[in-house]
Amino acid sequence: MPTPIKHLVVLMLENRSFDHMLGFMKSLNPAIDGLNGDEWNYPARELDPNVVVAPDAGDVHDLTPDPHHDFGDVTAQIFSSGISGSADMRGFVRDYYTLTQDPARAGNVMKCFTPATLPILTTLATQYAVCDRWFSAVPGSTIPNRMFVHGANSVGSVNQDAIDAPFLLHTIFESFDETTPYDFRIYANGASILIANKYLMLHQGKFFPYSQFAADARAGNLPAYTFIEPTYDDDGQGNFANSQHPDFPVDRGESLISDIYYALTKSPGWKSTLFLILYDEHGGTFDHVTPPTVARQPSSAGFPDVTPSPDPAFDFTRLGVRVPAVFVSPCIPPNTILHDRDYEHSSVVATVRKLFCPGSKPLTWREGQAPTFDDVLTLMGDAIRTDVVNLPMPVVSGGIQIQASAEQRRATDLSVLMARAMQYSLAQANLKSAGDVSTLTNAADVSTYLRQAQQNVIAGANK
Amino acid sequence: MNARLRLLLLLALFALAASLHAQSKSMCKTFLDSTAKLHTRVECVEALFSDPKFHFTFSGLPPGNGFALGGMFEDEVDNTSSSGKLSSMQVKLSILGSVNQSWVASGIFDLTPPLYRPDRNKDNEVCQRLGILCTKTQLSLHAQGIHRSLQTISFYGLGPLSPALKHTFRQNDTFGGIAANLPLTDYLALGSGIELLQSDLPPTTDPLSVNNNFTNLTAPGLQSQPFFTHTNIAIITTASAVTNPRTDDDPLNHTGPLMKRNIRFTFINQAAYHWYSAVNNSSSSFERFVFAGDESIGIGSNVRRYFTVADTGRGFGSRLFYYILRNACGNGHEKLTAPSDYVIKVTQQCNYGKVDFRSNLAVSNTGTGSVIPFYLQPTVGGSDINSQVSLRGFPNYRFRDRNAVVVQVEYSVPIADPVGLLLFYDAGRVGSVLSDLTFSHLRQDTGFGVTFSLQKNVVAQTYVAWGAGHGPTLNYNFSKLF
Repeated sequence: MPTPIKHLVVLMLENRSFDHMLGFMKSLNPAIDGLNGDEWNYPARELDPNVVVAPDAGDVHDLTPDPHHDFGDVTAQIFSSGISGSADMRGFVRDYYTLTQDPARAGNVMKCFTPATLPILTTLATQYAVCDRWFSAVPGSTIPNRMFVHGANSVGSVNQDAIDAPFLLHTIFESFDETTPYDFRIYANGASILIANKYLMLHQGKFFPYSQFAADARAGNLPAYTFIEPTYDDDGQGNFANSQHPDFPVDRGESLISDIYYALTKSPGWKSTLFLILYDEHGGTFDHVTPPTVARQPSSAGFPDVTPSPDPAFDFTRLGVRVPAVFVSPCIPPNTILHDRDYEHSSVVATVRKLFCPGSKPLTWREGQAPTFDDVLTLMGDAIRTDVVNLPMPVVSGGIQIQASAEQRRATDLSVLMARAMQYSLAQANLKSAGDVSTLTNAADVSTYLRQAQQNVIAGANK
Repeated sequence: MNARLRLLLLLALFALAASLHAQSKSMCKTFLDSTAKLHTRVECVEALFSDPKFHFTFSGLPPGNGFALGGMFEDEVDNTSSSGKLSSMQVKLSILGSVNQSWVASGIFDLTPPLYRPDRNKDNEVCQRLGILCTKTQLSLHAQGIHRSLQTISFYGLGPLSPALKHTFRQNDTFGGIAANLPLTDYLALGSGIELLQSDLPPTTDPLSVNNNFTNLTAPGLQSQPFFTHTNIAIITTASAVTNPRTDDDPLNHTGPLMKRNIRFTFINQAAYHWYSAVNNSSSSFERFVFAGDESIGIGSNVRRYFTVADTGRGFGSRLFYYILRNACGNGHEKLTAPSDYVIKVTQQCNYGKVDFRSNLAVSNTGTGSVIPFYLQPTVGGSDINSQVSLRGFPNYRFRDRNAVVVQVEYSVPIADPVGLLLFYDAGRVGSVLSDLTFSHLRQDTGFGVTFSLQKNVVAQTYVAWGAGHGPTLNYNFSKLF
């Protein structure tokens, strides 16, 4: 049966685990592999009681400082007694304690949202499909996971030190060449790590401002594959972070999801559109499901290797912590739960290739083995839904989190890393430098640098 | 220490600050290296003129006074209130001078109080589509103080038929005031301001100077320059629209319409009434109605079917068509693949430039026996004292009178950043009575040029225009950035 998907729209948000966001959806539908409410972690200090999950996550203030989620920390979170022990998922609190040195605050990584406090994502997950077996691709941080969603590879990186990897990565976007009639777009409001990519630097015409998205959707101008970048940081120019990265307000990300949903429902291509809401990694927040391993199968012997990580040594045969994945389409019936396959970020690459770049070869064996989701649209013909779900307003529990202006606040590690990656890429591509990242101090400066760097890429690509 | 020496020292200080700041940039560190590439040197120069805080500036001096260079300090502080509302304060200080010893010093302060949330425009689809024009009018306050000393301003006499013999005069202006914008609706705002203005026209010994060739009768205000209070009230309208038909095009289609239109309209218009009251000299007081309009059409399209170079044919016209499409809709494929492989795909967005229709009308009114000082009368020709281009086929300040009208049609399209192409048609005239300004009386010109942009703003243009009746006129304009 041919897939009805003509438009795939992927929104990848930041740093929240499945249980943290949707675990308590189990109270609405017991078939979801979520939380019973008695899941626990070892305490920060040995003599303290175990820390049990709590349905009281707030949209801000819980997760400052940002919980660690580099490779070593994620390993400690999954294997509470060390890598040689069992993957019991009970080291989250202890790992956060190493950062906070505050046993009470360390327990905040066990705080989870409920359907009442996360109404938009929950409503879409209920009204369409939720996947409770989607794992981040790397048991590590943001950049390697974001690279996997584009290239099923992280060029050997598992941590936020991937300065050169974004430039070098081969992505699915390269497969949208003259051999396929399908096209792609990347919508971003400011920073995108993709702008640092060697291939995409030369294809700046594929980047569009997010402010244009709703109008493009309404006019039918969305291509086959659309990837949406959230806003990663406040920039001092009226743009506020809506990536949901801790400890930015979650409600802003909920608003973003709502905006995209309503824009898509007004598109003339809505009946053949699949909207996938995804998170890059868990950001140090608790999840109770042990990530699976992904041994290379003989069937993928001919596919390119995933670049191994030299330090720490890692061959990418183990997935990261489970993250939320919600599928939205009028061809999906309400209350659909997907848990018969272990999806990971390479599944996006594999599905895009299968749908829009048929005949081209997988980028790595991880892509070659990743399950695709082209078959999640099951309603056909007259059964295709015509309703538009009425989404509730997002819940604001903590008000505006960032009181200090972007000029007065230190830039996030992610923004700084993006800037460093951009600096590397501009130099490699022999394009105009946007300045010296090491001299930047606040969020506004980093934001200005990233915008300038993008301008330099555009100007350079046009020459 | 005399004033000129102090000025030079101040200029040097600004220049040093700007230079030191820019030199810290990596592209400037190798500027003098023999191995440095041309684009690195160009980028260093760009940084010198655009870096935050301290940078050089070359605009702001009225035309006719040579190439000006100076320094600018600018700083902006944005804040978010506890309720999420944005406020901003911006300060600009600049000083620049030219080789003919003209100079300008200015200080500007802008304040946007915390009244609006950043997502103020969120629900406006057209506004979203237009990106930068998305900003609805906000309550804002503006204060400025400027002194300029201009050695050469052209004067050809008053009236639409003044002879083409150029005279010059010196003009020193000191003015300062405050202004506010108050939004009434999303698309309508009220503006108002008050300003104090003192001009001075020092006599010169130049045989062609105004003071040696004109009298207070033929150049009112030549003898003495009163102190003015200038108040104004304005209505400002902004509106936008887009026409981009709603289609669901199949990427596999190889036939059918190639494009659908994606046309963006913006309409920005301002009507203002000004009162100039001369203190202790009511015979120089006057009123003026000024209308300024800029109606803009962004010309674009979206691709509706799969299209390859093979579809274009081999003829010159076909290849030109393909070249235009590739540049207008380009996504960079040509960088990696042979031109013959280039494809244009469904939904791709094409940009063919922008057409601007600009209009300016100034109508002055005086009481019985009153006259308007000639140096405060509007000019048409080349650029005016505020660096606004008008009749580009004529010299700067060519025509001057109490009333003036200018209409312009301009097509601009980016060619290769930072350079763009410019085609234009201008029509305009001055007159002592309104009937002089009818269309049949207008002088006209047409021409082409290139624009230069910095930070996406056109900062300079050079052009060739025909219309004055003596062949092409080559001229240039630096936009007034403050």
